[in-house]
Amino acid sequence: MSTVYISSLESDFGKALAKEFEKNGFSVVTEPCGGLEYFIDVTECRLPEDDKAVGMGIDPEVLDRAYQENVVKPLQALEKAFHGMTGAKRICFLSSKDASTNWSEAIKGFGYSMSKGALHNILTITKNTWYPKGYTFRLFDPMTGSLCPEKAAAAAYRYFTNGRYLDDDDYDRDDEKNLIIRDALGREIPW
Amino acid sequence: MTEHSIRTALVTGADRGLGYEMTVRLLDEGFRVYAGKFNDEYSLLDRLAEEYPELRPVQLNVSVYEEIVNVEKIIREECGYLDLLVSNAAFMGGPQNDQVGGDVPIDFDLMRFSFNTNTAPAPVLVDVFLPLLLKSDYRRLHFTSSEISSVRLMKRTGSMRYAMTKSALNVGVRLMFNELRPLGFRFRLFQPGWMKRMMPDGTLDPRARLDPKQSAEMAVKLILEDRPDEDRLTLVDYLGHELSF
Repeated sequence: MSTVYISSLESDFGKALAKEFEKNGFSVVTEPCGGLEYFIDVTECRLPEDDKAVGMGIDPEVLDRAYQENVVKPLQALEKAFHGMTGAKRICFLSSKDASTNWSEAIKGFGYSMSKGALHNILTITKNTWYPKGYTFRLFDPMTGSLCPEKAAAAAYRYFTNGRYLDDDDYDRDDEKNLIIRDALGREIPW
Repeated sequence: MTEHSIRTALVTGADRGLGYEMTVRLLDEGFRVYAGKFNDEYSLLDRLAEEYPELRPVQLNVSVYEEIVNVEKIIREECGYLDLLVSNAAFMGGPQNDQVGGDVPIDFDLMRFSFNTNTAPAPVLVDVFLPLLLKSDYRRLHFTSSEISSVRLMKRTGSMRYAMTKSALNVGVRLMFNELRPLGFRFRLFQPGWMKRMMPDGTLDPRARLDPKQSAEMAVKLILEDRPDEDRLTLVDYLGHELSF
């Protein structure tokens, strides 16, 4: 039985995603450990105090806390599990359009958006290093607030557990070397 | 909103390198410049102030909120408006061998420090200075980014700490752009290139490729020029070439 780590089952999305994996015969754990095939971080920390545009009083401590929650804690968990991973060795994180420099329409939520932006860069560097050694990566936007958690979880399950190919009929044309963000409707979100 | 006879700028991280050279260029263009000093090893700004009466060195560690507020108070009381904010200060020091799964454990405290120095201060600065910026018709904001902020172009396999702070900065600038562009603000996100380090006596370490003067020249040119596409947020390098995010 393959083991998947899901960082938290407190959110509706985390719960629904755990159900999807269990329904498909996976063992779900919530503590990072050795022997994982999937490491899935479902952190989407949008602090209530982070709901400010410039001119409304941006608090640097809130930005710091958002970074701790969205970047530092997930990476600390990943470090614990990283070298013991097996099989697809797939590392999955959540992001959103709000953290896209190209597409974001947000004016508030600097802590969330900037910390996820940092994560995009970190995961790309990590992918560059570890993809040649068998690790694979996914970034996924569950479209929280626009799509129900069950639909988002079903889309995430498909995205996380399937390979990525430039041509589905030609497995030699593997696209795993390109990290992208895909949303729950399958759309690619530009960086 | 007023057109002022003397344009006023604040440049952070002006002790040396790009910030220092941008300060010189802006002074040559007739700006009054409040130049953020942080590093006690460097006294280049004090010497420059003897030559340029419109230069005001101010103590400014951008990761200390109280110092930002204090500089705002100084500019508000002395001048009453701000035309241009150059957010340039950054920390690049420390070991560059941090990577997930690497031989050396990631120094998470240093990552946090880098985020709080290179990324978080940008929206905080704009937030604090917005009332003064809104008193100007010029409304220009410059942010020093980097080519390693580009996720699409990223080829590195390590040294993620500085790089991630600049990708995060770009996203923060996008959020500010969304709010402030409709109010007439012009944004510059700049990739200065690999510059020679400026030593305390003003000489340059020969390693690296570019003299900070070259970069500063392009940075200030981009600030002063109007673009036909101001409604697009772009990352532009020291040659004037646009990079993808």
